[in-house]
Amino acid sequence: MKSEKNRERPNFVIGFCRYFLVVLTAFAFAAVPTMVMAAEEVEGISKLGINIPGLIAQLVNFLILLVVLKIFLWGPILKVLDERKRRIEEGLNRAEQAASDALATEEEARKVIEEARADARAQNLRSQESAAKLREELEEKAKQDAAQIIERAHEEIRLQREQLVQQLQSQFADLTIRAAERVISQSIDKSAHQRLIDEVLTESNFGQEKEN
Amino acid sequence: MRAAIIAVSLLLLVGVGVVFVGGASPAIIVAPEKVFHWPVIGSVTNTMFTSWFVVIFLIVLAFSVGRRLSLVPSGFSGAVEAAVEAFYNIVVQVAGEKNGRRFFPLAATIFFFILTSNYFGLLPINNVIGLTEVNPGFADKHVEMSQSEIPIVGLNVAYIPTTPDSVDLAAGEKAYIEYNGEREYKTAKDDHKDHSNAAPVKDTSSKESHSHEGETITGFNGLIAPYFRSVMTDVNAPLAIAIFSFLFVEFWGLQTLGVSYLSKFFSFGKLLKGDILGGIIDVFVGLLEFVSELSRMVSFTFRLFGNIFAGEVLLLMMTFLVPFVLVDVFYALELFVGLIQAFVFAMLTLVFAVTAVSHHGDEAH
Repeated sequence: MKSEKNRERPNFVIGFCRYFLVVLTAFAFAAVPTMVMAAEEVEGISKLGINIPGLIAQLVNFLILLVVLKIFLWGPILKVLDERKRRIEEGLNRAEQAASDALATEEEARKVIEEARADARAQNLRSQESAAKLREELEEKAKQDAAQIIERAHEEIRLQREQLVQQLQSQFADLTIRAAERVISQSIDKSAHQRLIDEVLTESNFGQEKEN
Repeated sequence: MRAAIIAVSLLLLVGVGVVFVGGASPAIIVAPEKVFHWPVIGSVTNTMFTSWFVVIFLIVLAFSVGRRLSLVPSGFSGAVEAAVEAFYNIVVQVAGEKNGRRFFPLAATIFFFILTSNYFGLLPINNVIGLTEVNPGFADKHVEMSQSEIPIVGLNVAYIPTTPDSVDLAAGEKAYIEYNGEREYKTAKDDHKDHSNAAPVKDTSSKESHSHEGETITGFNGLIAPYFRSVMTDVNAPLAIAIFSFLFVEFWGLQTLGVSYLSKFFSFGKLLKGDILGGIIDVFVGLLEFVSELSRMVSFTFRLFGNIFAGEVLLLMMTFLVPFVLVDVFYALELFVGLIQAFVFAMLTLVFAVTAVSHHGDEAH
């Protein structure tokens, strides 16, 4: 601010001197018609109203106006206009910058999101694949397990049946032997015969097992 | 229907104006009237007086607006600023950024001074309030015009009263008469006797004064020398501006091109080289340039003066003929003319300045 003022001052002085020069010449010009009129008493011109006091008065008027308006109106207004122009330019530049920045940021964000999405998709795919694999494996294993279990069960059932058959055989043999003993030991009528057989059977619980 | 009513009432208004409200018959005087005789300054013409008002108005405007200027325009100063900015943009368009800034103060001062003067000249105070004077040149032309004078702050202000004053000359009452810049109060007795100059004026100026003895003159017949008159109707004002315009243009030309600027007018180059024919033609062309440069001042002066003076005469005439309604059309016209003339003056100055600072090669004829 201060340096600006220092720079402006000599300009102002020079400018003032120039104005002063112009003004001096203006009054010299005013003097020319004076002499002309004084020399020949120009009737027409004075009828028209051209006269030296009037002319000088108007010159002074205009000069005062020129100087005062220059200092107090045109100068400040131009300054304000320049300042405003500068501010607006600055603002526009800044806005443009901001807009381009925003665009870049948006682009970046979009890229990031896109990347993340692709990532997620890949991840998803991969997990789905692995899940499918896992499931298949599990299924396979389960099937195998089941087959094993079934096989084992079959084996067991077979063993049990064999055992049972063996037991049954031995028991049946036993029973038969015992029944035969009774039959033999007692004289047998037909009803006693039947009763004996029933007795043996009830004793042996064979019937129950059969029911089961 | 409404339009018809408006039209009829306007016509009626015009009729009423023409029949009942006849204005004062205008006296067309080119030279500005001297209305004040002040000790130090001397005689002051009405255009000078008015121009002071214009100048003071503009200076007050400049102070009040210049102080309130801000980056965010608002209110009255914003409006003024907008007008100035619009003009500045035109100047820059014509002269370019660098030259535009240089020429702007002069062009703007010319434009706004002439504009304000012209619009000030349209105010109703102009050509109405004034000194009464008897002008021998117009003695046979004037129409009866009753006027009175009242002293206001030391000034005698003449006005047209609703009831005409009557002065009984025979009874020794004073009627005043002004002639040759002197104001004299006369009674019937000393009229005709002391001042042989004033006598014919007195005779023709009032119908009733043909025989003074025992008669009463009603009011005063004469001319009004108005206190306010449009500034540019005085040739001196446009001439002063034209002189400044001319000087600044030459100054800028010299400042930019140096002494080579003068070679436009005094081109002896070819003649000195021995090219007689071409040299003579160059010298002649330079002479023509010089004359045309000077004649700009005259054309500037009379363009502005002629337009505004004609406008004033037109307004006076229309006010006299059709006082109501129709005269407004001419006021509108004068608003336009005032603006255009101000603009033309400023723009021509600008264009001349631009041609003056541009090199010779640029302005190939």
